[in-house]
Amino acid sequence: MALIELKGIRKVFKQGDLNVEVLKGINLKIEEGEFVAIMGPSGSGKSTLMYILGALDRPTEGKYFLKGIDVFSLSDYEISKLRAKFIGFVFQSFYLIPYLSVLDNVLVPVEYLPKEDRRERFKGKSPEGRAKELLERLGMEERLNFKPSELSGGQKQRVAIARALMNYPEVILADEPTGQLDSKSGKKVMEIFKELNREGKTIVLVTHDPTVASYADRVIKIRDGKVEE
Amino acid sequence: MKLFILKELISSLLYSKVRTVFGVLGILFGVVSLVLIVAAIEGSSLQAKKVIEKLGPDSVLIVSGSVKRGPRSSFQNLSLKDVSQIQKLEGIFALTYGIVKPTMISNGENPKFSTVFGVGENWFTSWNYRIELGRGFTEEDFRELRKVAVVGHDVSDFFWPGENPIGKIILVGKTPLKVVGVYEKKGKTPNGHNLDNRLFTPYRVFDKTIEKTYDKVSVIRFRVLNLNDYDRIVEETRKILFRNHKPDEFMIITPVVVKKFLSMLSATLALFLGIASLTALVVGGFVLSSIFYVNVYTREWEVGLRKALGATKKEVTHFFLSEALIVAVISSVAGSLIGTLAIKWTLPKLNIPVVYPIKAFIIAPLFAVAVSLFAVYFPARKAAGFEPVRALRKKA
Repeated sequence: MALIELKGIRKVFKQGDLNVEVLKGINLKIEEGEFVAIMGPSGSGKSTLMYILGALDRPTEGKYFLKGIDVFSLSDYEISKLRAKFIGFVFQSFYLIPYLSVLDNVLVPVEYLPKEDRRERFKGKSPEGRAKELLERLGMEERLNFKPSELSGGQKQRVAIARALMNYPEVILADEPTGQLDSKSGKKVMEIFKELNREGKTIVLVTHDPTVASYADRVIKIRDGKVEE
Repeated sequence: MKLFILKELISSLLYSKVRTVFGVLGILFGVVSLVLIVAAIEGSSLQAKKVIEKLGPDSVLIVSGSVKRGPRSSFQNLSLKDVSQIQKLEGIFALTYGIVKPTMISNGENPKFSTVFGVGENWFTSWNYRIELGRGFTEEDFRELRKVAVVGHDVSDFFWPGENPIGKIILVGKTPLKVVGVYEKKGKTPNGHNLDNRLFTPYRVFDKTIEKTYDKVSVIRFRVLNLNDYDRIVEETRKILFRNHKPDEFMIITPVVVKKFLSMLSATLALFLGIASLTALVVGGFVLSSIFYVNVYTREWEVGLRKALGATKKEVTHFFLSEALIVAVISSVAGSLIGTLAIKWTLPKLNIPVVYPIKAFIIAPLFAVAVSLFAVYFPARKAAGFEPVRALRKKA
């Protein structure tokens, strides 16, 4: 069973009287442990696809199975909890909460993990301990109490990666993760993804940058709402 | 995790200090005025009770003055004619009367401004004055027009501190009076008049030596033997007074009248302060609501992020409501403290006894919490309804 399976995904946006079809029947399978890059020029529908994969947006038509679960047959509440349990997001703009410290930003996802899952995943370990471990691993142990405004772009993205990993997700979805970084920091971030993937983590990243895509084992090209693998 | 959420909420409120301060101020004013209004109402009813207790449920007080102009003991519209006619009524006792003159008194060396009363028999028993030193007036004092005086503690302590004042001579104007008694401390009236700075002398002595009275009196007071006859006796008294005077020359004060007057006063106060505090709270609610509306829109991307991390609509709503709750708690604590100070400073100026009503300190915070939650519920629901994809795009 594939970790992710999309069947005939269509997404139509209404723009005034016009119906704009952004995704035109996407069929896609991603296996556990894969490192996949979804590439395409801007307006190709790759971000829309990423939001559907993250269960943040519903398709107009089609089915999405995550670990065999028919995602869009679930209620809003169940979809929210599915995100908390299975998906870790890394965004281009980092989205670190400005009033929280680095450590607290990494801890936020635990707040939304249902209690029983929290117990099962942390197995007696404190969430704070795990957050510190992740930040240490990403070289941020010196900056646990820093505020996001005191960090460089590369550091911010490392905190965002730690946050994405916090709840032991099945898949990391990264949307242009190096888009706001200089090439050196971007390279470091991509190496982190590569390493995580080597440890077995499934990574799906969306990019328009071929250099970033080159880190992936598999590249899926999207053009005009269709897959050109 | 609950502790972590609390930490998050506090960090958020500290981060947007202006929002928090304005939100807190909005609710705080409401709390302060609510605390104050309950204290004022409780203080007024306490005052009413005290006045009625002092007056006695069986007593009838007649003073010179009118409802329109207010009772004035310095007016002298009543006369001994009224007294002798009222005396004939059946079922009354302890009838007394008095005339008042605020004037200078002295012991021959130091002058003191005091209130001098020329009083009829029964004055001390009728008004519940207890003689602490010496004696009250005797029949002989009245009959033989003895130049005697009974004074309050403020008077005796002023002229003869640490000495026994009995037998000493006190001058009212040029008239020497012999102090025969000192009455027990009575404190102040609910209106703040000092009851211990008074000098009493028999009415006729006052008339002959201090100031000609022309048989006028300022106050008449008596008590009713049987409360069942109370209304009848008041009615008959009124008839006598109407025969002798114009309607605006006197006022009959009964416990019912006092109660009515004071409850009218406290109702006016309650209405005035009630409107003020309600307005303050409603405005506070609007302020909080607008602040949170602006806030949820500026934090739209944060809501999007929290949803991406797994927050449900309910959790987003709860997050903002919890922030409002903290604002309400801070406002309630600060408001109660400021309210306490406001009670201490304001009520004495309004001649209302200072009361710190527990009721107010419970009602006001509950009200503040209710208003805050209601005010923030709508922006919180708005935030909960944000589409995550759209919300995330708000921060590019």
